Amino acid sequence: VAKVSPDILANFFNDLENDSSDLETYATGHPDMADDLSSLIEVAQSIVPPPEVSLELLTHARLRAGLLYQMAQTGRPSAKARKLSVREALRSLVGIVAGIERIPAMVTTAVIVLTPSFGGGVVFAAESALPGDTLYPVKLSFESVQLVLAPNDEARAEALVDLAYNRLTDLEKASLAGRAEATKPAVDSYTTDVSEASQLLSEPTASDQTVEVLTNRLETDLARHEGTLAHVELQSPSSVTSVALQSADDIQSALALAVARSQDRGQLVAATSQGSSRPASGPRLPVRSAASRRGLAVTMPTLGTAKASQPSQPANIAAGAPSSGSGGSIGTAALRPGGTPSSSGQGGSTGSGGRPGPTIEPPQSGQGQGSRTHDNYRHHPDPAHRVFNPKRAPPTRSVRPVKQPSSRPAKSPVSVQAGGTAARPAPTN
Amino acid sequence: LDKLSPAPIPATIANDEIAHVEAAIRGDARAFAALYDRHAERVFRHVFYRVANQSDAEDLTQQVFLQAWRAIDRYQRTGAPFVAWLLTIAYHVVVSHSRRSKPTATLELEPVTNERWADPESETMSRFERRAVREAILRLKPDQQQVIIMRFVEHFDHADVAAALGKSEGYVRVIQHRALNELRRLLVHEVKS
Repeated sequence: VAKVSPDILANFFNDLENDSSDLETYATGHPDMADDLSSLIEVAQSIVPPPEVSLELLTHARLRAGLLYQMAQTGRPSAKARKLSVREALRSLVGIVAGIERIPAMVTTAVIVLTPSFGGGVVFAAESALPGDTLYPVKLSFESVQLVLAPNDEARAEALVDLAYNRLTDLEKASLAGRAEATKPAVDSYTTDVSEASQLLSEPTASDQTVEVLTNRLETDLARHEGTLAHVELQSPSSVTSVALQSADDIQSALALAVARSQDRGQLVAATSQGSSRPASGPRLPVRSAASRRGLAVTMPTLGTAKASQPSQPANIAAGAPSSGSGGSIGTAALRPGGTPSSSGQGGSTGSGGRPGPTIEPPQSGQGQGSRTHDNYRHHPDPAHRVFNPKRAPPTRSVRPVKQPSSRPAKSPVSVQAGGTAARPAPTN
Repeated sequence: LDKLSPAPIPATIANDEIAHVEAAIRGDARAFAALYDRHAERVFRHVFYRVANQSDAEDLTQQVFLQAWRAIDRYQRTGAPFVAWLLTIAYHVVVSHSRRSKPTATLELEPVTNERWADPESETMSRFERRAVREAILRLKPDQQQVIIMRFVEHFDHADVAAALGKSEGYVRVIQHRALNELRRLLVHEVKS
C-alpha cells in the first residue's frame, strides 16, 4: 500500500476545509493511496476538541485581578514598570470578590452556562449590565480594576473621572429603561468617584492642567446628564436627591483649592508667557455657581475672563465667532487655553489607542483656540460624547459671580448664548 | 469533518482586537485586559485539555497571559492570529510545568474525571475512546503534539500554525503527517493491547 505524502495529506485537508473536494474524489485520483489516506483521515476525525469547559465567574475574576496585579508589579521589559501598592491591589481584589459574592449562586451558574454560548466571557455579560441587574455589582468591580493600574494620583483621578462618567451613562440608560428606582448603586458609586477624584485633584501635587482638564470633564459630564438626574430624582427622590448637589460641591471644592493653591504659589501658567489668553493670575477654572447648583446647568469661567476678549487672542465668546468643526464651543470650553494640533475639531482619540479619558498634554503655543472643540468631548471614552452638540446645551447660560477663594474681585455677570455669541461687559483690567 | 473548518472571526471583532493588541504593545494594560477577557476561556480550555487538572489549568492560564504581556512586543513579527500566538505560549508553559511536576502528576496518569468534560456533542464517542485518543496525543513528540492540537483541536490552518510556531508551512505539513501516522500506530497498539 502506497503511503500518502505530507503534501497530499495537507492538500486534502485544505480542500476538505474549503469544501472543494472530498475523500471519494481524492481516492479516485490516488487509488493506490486510498487506504492510507482514509486511515489517516479516520485518525484525524477521532481527535475531538475539548467540550466547552469554561472558567467560572469567580475564577475568571480572580485570575484577571491576579494578572493585572502582576502586570503592574513586574511591567514589561520594554515598558515602564508600574509600581502598585499592596494596599491598592488588595482593595481591588477584595472589591471584586465582594461584588461577585453578592450574586446569587443560581444566577452565577446561569451566567457560566450561558455566556460561552454567546461567544464571550463573563465580563462581556456584565459589561452591559445596568443598575438593577444582578450583574451590575460585577460590572462595577471589574471597572474598578483600572484604579489599580493608575501609577500615580493624577492617573487615578483620571480613572475616577472615567468611572464617574460611566456611572452617569448607566443612570441615563437605566432611566430610559424605566429603572430609575433601581439606580442607587450607580448614584452611590458616582458620588464616591467624584468625591475621591475631587480630593485627589485638591492635593498640592496635582498639576494645574490636570485639575483643569479633569474638573472640566466632571462639570461637563454632570451638566450633560442633568436631564437624566432630574428624571431619576423624580422617580426615586430618596436615592438621588442630594447627588447633584454633593457632586457639584465636591467639584467646586477641588477647584477652589486648586485656584487658591495656584495663587499662593504665584505660579504663572506657561501659556500666558507664550501669548495665550490664559490669565496670568492662575489657571482659568470653571466653577459652578453656588446659586445655580440646583439647576446643574451653569458653568462659568471665573478667572481671567477679561483676557479672553483681548484682540490679539480672541476667544470664541468674546469674538462671537462660532468655532469650526462640529459645533460652537460654549462656556468653559471656548475659553479654555491650550489646544491640539487638530484644528478641525472633529472627534478622535490621539495616541492612546482607544484608551478612555483625556490625554493630558501641555499647552501648545501659537494655536488659536477659536477653532477647536471641547477637549472633553474629543477625548471622551464614549464616541457619541466626543463631538460637542450645541443643540443639547441650554440655549442661554447665565453666569453669575462666584465667591472667590481669595481676594480676587468678582467678575461681572456674563451671558453666553448658544452658537458662540456672547454679551459681556468690557474688561475691567 | 465539519470540525476541521475553523469558525470565521467577524471582521469587527478582528479589527477591535487589532486595536487592543496595538494599544497593549504600547503598554496599555487595560487593552491587554480586554484581550484577556476575550481569550481567557480558549486558553484555559487549551491548557485544561493538556493538563486535565482544573487548578493547574487556572494557574497556567494566568501564566500564559503574563508571559504574553511581557513578550507582546514580539507578537507582530509572527503574523499569526493573536490567539494562536497565545496558544503557542501556552504550549511552552505547559511543557515547562510538566517538567517541574512530580511524577504522580504526569499527564498520562491524570484521569479525565471532570464532569464537564463530557458534553452531548462528544457522547457519540465512548469515554474510553476519547481518553485513549487524548492520551495518545499527549504521548507524541512535543512538536507533533503542538501541531496536532493546533490543527485538529484548535482548528488553525497550516499557515496560521506555521506563523505561530515560527516555522515554514512545509515543516507543519511534514510534522502533521508524521504525527497522524504516529497517532495511528499508538491507537492501533492501544486497541490490540
